[in-house]
Amino acid sequence: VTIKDLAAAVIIPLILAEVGPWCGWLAAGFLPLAARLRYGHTDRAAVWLEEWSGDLDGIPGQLTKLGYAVGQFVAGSAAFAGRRAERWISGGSGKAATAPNPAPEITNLTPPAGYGGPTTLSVAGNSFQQLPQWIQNVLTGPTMSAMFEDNARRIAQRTYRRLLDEGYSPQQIRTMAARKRREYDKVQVTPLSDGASAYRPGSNDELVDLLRLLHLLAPDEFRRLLLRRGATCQPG
Amino acid sequence: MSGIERVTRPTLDVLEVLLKAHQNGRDIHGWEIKKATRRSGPTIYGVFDRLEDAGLIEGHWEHQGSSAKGPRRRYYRLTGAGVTTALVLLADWRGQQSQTRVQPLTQGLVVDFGRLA
Repeated sequence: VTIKDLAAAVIIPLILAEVGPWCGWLAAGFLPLAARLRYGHTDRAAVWLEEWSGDLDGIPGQLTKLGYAVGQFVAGSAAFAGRRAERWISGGSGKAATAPNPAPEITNLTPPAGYGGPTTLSVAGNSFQQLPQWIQNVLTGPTMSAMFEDNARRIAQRTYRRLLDEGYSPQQIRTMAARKRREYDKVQVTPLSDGASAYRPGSNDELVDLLRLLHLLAPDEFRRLLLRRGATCQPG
Repeated sequence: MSGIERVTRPTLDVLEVLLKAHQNGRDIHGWEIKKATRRSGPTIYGVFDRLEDAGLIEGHWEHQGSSAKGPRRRYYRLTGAGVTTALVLLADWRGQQSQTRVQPLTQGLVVDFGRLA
């Protein structure tokens, strides 16, 4: 008798016998969560929860019940993430809105007298002008981040609305953004040398496209990739 | 024209089942539609959301006696607009299907005539 035989004959049935009854209980627990994720605290969530619970009663087998509930839960999580992204894109909420200082536009800032001129930075193989030191002295870290987020969000919102106007569905836009994000993962980003903002208006289109679509889909990941390295980019 | 944001294959499947139920003069519950279309639960309920938002279907709860326990079933039926939309969309889709099936045969005939000439 091999270990495989033993597992097939004794261990797996034992595990199933132990776990099986819990699956139904677990499935029933997943459904309210799935409904709330998918529809929030709405009447529709209550309606679907009752309906899904009815479905669950009609499903034979405890593991199948669990599979059904997990499916609803996964779909609910996806809907929740999509809803959050759309709320963010439409300007409903965002961290920049609660930043300690109002975020000024980079383009509205004018250098003081005596400014000596830019130095050069390299990001993803492109050269950028470095924002002058006097801006870094004026702006604190959170303000710099908020400024960046405001700009990136504006660009993302504009892009999103343009794509909607062109007839793309929100789902298609998310898919496009995901595809861009995969491309972005292959791009090597050199950390900026000293935490300065970098920009080169009109000449970094490819990077800007990648940044705006990545930011559209996954702002947290975007911040993790760039801002935590002490770098702040001004995309366009 | 259809009143729904996107017309996907699962949407057409659901409309087809609902239309059949309508023609048979009965309402049909969600689980039954799921089984008939062989689609997953989240897909089917996503379609219900869109159809309900567009006013193409309406749902109502089954009447349970006081002794009945457990969750109620919800039954669906096409609205007047839903019947019209379903007929149009399904006819369109069937038209497209038959075109894609006929096209290769026509091309084959053209080639054969060319050879004969």
